[in-house]
Amino acid sequence: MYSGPTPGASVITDIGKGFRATRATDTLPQTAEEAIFTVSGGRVFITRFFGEVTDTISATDPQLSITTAPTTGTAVVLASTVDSKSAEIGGFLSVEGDGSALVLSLAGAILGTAVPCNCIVAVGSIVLKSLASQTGSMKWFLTYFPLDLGAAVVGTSA
Amino acid sequence: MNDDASRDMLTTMYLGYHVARATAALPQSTNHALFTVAGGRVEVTLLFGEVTTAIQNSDPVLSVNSTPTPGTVLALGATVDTTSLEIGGFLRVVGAGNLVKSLAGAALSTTYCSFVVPIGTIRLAGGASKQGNMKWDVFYKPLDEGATVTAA
Repeated sequence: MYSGPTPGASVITDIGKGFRATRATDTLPQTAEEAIFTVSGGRVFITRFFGEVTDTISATDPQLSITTAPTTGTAVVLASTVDSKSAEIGGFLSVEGDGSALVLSLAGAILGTAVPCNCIVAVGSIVLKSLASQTGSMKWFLTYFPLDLGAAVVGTSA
Repeated sequence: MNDDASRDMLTTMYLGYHVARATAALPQSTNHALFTVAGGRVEVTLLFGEVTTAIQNSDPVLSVNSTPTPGTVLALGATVDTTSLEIGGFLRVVGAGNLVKSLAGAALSTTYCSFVVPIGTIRLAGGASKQGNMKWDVFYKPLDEGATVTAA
């Protein structure tokens, strides 16, 4: 049985967008990969996925991207790199989940995108990857529905 | 309450009822029913297959079709080359007449378009006789009172 965080007061979000999973703020990986979410118990359907800048990103692009790391099989790029240099505190990087570039937004809002996130992710990890070692911190958020009984997403320890 | 059953209920509210079809070998230059639609029309919100035995290194020329009880067969997902598709790989029917193939890590997002299927069957066709097994899942919402989908 699933034993993760209780949705509690997030009932309306749960109904509309699915269960929430968060990952606390952390510095950017330094030319490395870092798991930010763990998918366990079965497949999940992700409906919203974005990161928020909590410490301004360096004036040089860290070349961030988001991929899956399935327990079995080949990784898939959910969102490729976008130039995020100097992204401000409160700025967003959104994942459309179709393999296209991350969508960079200023702190004011995440605008609607042509492809709303509706990807299916298998058991394994969701990974933040950087191709350059730059300063900056981000926290991450996603919503999802379980496709298999007992499937869940949990943020990794920062 | 936050057990698996209540969590599953939210998926049902969003995507509709879930029907899973057990793993089976690919059709061999023929077609077979994946799901049966009975009692009325349904809106399919998500339809995808997952590879459970790697597909042969030669394309089985798979497609997914709606075969209505009266009327003409319609391609829900035209062929895509699935040569050597790995275990865990996905084929997603996006309702615009095409199949989208993904490796095991994720079935990527699509321009979200659910589609309506009348009474009849949803069938998987193989244009060639190749090795490989797949299981299929459909999520749907009844549009007519009493409409259901069952695994074939």
